[in-house]
Amino acid sequence: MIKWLTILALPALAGDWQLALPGLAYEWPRDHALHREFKTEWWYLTGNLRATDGRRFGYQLTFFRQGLRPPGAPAVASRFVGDALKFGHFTITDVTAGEFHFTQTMKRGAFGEAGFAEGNRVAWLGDWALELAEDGAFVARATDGERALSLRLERAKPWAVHGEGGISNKAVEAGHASHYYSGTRLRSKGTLRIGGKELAVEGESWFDHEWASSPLPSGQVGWDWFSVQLDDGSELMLYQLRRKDGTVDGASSGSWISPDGTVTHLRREEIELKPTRRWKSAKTGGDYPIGWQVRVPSLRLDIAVSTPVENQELVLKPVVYWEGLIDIAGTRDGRAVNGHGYLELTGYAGAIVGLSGP
Amino acid sequence: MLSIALGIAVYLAIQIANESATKSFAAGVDMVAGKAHVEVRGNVDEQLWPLIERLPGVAGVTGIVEGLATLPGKPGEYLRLIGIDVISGAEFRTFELSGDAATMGERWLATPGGVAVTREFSARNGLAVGAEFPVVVDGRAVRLVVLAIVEDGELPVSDSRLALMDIGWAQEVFRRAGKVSSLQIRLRDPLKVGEAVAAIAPLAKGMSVGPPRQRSEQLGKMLAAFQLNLTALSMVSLLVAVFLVFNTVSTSVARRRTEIGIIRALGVTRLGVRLIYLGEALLYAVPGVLLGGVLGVGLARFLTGAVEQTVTALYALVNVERLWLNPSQFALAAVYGVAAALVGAWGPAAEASRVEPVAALRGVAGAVREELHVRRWWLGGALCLLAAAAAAGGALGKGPAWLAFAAAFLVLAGFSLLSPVLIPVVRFVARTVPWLPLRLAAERLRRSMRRNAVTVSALAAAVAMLVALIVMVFSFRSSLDAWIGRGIVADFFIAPAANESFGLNSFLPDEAVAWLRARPEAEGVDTFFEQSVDGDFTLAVVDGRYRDNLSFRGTDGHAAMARVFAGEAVAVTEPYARRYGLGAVALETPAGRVEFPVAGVYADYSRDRGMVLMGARAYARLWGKHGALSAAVYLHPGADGTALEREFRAAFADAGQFSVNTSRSLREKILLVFDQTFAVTEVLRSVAVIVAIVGVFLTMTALVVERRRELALLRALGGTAQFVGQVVLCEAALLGLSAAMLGIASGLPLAMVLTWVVNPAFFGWTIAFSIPMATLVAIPFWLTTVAVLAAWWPARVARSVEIAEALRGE
Repeated sequence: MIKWLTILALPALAGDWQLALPGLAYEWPRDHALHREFKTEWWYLTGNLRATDGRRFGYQLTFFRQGLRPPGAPAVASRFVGDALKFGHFTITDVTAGEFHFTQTMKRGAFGEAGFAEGNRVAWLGDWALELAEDGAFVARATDGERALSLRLERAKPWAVHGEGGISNKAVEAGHASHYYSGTRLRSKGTLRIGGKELAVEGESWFDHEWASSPLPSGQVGWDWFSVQLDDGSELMLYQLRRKDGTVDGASSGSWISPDGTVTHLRREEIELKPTRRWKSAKTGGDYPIGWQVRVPSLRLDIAVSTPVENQELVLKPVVYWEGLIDIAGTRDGRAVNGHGYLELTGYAGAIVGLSGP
Repeated sequence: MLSIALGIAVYLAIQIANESATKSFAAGVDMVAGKAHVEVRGNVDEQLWPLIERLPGVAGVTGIVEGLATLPGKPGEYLRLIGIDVISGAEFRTFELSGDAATMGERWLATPGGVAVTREFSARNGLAVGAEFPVVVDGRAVRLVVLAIVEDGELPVSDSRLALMDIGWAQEVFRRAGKVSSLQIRLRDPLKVGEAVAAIAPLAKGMSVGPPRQRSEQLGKMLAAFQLNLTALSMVSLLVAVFLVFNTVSTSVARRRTEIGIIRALGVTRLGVRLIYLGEALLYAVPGVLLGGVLGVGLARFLTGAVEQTVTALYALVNVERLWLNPSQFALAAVYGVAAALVGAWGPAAEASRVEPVAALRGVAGAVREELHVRRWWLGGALCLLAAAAAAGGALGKGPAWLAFAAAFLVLAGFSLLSPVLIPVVRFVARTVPWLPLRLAAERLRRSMRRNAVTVSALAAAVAMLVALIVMVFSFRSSLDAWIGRGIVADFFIAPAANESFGLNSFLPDEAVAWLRARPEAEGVDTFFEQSVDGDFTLAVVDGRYRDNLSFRGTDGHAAMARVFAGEAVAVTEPYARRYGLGAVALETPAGRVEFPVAGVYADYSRDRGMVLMGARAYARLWGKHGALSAAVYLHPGADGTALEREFRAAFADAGQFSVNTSRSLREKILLVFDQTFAVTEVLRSVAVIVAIVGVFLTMTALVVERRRELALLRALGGTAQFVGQVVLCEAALLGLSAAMLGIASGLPLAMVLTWVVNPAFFGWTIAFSIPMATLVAIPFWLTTVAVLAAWWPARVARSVEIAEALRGE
């Protein structure tokens, strides 16, 4: 997912960051770990969970790394001058209660309280962490003080690399790309503490890992991103980059992952996205398209996207966006399919930091 | 009215200036400490941060790195850099940075030397966003870059020299990696400050731990003595206002004697008359208070600069860019103004109420009782002086320090009451001087001594204050000069230039000290460092050897300093000894509490809170190595100091700005600071002159009006108009002269009280009493001249008295 490129990849101060270029041979678990030579990187988990008592939850847990000083920058004596800014977002969608909880944490990491790639820890921020277990499963945990989530995530399908030639383009202009792969279906099991109760939860998660050094072009205002897990064993990832003039950037694209794990790259022209329902935030005035009709004729795919909770808006400083659990109903290849996933909508409430350039 | 305005203005101005200095400092503390409940201050090891964060009850911790940077080539311009952690500090701040600062995110963290400066600073120095500019930090050249502009009103203080930067880059700029200036701590339960302090203190040995507010309170306490001085001075201006109101209303009563007779005849009671005059005084008081308020604010602007300089020179860096106008100050000033008017008008109003209608209507002045209760005045005066002596004894002994001021006030009051002592003198003049106008004037003055005594007292009080201050300041300055002459003996002194203007905050580069020590011309290089202990007294550390440059009291300096440099003991200053006694000095060090015996007490005028002198070896053993704030260079006889200075400048030209002083130029600078500190006395001098003019003018006018008949009689007996005028002018001259003599006579004991009682009681400074003869001798001359000039108009009135009309009542 492109999303954070815009916010994080401000025009680089030092031009010493490595660009995402075609030809990367992905390798795991090596590529789960941090890529220090790239300016921006994130580890992104979203998922659909059900508690043993039948209650349904959605969650998002993200670890961001924003490089401040490229490798080889002059040495400094102060521990407070960091190589990277470290922050994270954590949300819980309580579908049964119709509630949405979000929080942001940011750490300097001056005293080792936050960091990346150390031992079995892929990333950690205070008591939030993403770890790699001995058997290759992910272990994730986060808390906002009142709610706490702890999950073990096992890969059900191969890692899916998006884009072409190992890079995912973010603009038609050259040089705007990232390295991007996903774990499109992770069996998830763990506990969720909410409302003072410790619930056993189980479900499916989606893992994204993306790294890049180049910013989005200034003509773009935001993006719409979809991750969909269908009950026929296939998954879909789509994004479109919106421009100031209302058009969609030609670099918008997607991936279809067949039940056996084969990834099919979807070009902009193959995808039809049409908003069907909007929700206006009373808090920020953001007018979000939370309902969609998605058609991919080449796949004979036609699905309706809806959300069980309208308000899944993260009102944070300095960014405001909508990211939440979605439900899917439609047809593929003439047969009825259902599913769930996550939708991310940015640039609808105020200017996106870093995009409001000159 | 004018007199009230004047009194109120001086009083208000001094109060506002004081409060502005204290508030500016407190606002600075608040801005930095923000919502913290507890702070750890000192040279704080940053490793304490995570340790404190983990303590139970602690909700959050953030660190701050503070320091000063000067702008080369822009004398007086500096930046107070505050390194903050935008991440952990968000919950502490009482201000929000809007605009650029909020959105620039990573540039803030990634740009070496990136700062946010105020709009005013940016405009003043022509530095827009993106501008790089050189500064000097601890004598080193450093480049800063403007990342953002802080708009007016975004920071809770109006200090344009405040600049914010990231804590990490602040450590880099100040080369202070591993250390922070303070840790700010928020608690889950803000009421449990005591427990938190108890839990943190063992971790933070040798540092001060307490609520941030404590710091502004400490400064408040430090300034209390200094401010009490100024407040006492401002009260004198109110006292003078009382005298002037007395004079004004007396004049009014004298003029309207006939009128009073008429209204009394029309049935207005004595009480009624009294109320009319008190009411009239109130009518003067109200516009007087208003005008005083306006004048006071204006004067405060002028005084604030002086107070700011003094506070910075003596206590802590304060930059007052706006006046804090406190409504309660105005209210209090108004109450004082009205009270002064009523007190001043009380006597004359009473006199008016005693006017007999018949006598007044006949135009006979006989109703005024002219005899003076000389004995009562003598008694009062003597009692005042006795009380003054008792108060002075108390202040010097165990009593509270304010007794010293009580003593000063009583001396003043006592001598004012002794003004009738002049009667025999005046009588003597009246009998012996051959020149008729003068003899007549003396005689008239003697007969109307009752009213004139008040004028003379008012004038004398003003003169006495002036004399006392002149003498005290002169004595202080002479003592200081003698101390400098003995103490400042090195061939030259080198310090980062910033230390001269903004307090001792910048360090000499170690290379510079090493360079100096390696020079063959240098016989020795002593370095100096100091730190505040619990925000209370100063711990001074000297690395070098004793040069017989301290005036020890009752001990052999060489023996005492040998122990100090050996690390066995410390030496303390007189102010320290006065405040804490001579018991062992207990210091909290990183190694725990250590006690040092006192090897000796020496005279020092540099720190009124007291100073403890320690050898560098002992300090290094307990606290570790430290930088030098300044260095004193001693040359071999015959060595070329100028050449050495030139070479030093050449060798460290890039490293920033240094001030290199010879003992002579340093002496001049110290005396300059001293003179600035006492610039306030100029205000009092002006008050004295204005009192002289207004007082003499009013008195002479009243006298002329009252004595119309007498003057007319003089004319009728053959005196020319010119003769009458001369008589009036002679009276004025006698008034001025007597006031000057009395003022000097009472000013000298007052000066003794200030020098021997007030100063030791408040500051612990010992000052040798000395009298500036020339200045004192000049006072009677200029005061008499001023009095004669002020009497010019009354004299003209006297000359034009219509004989027939004035004598009609006979």
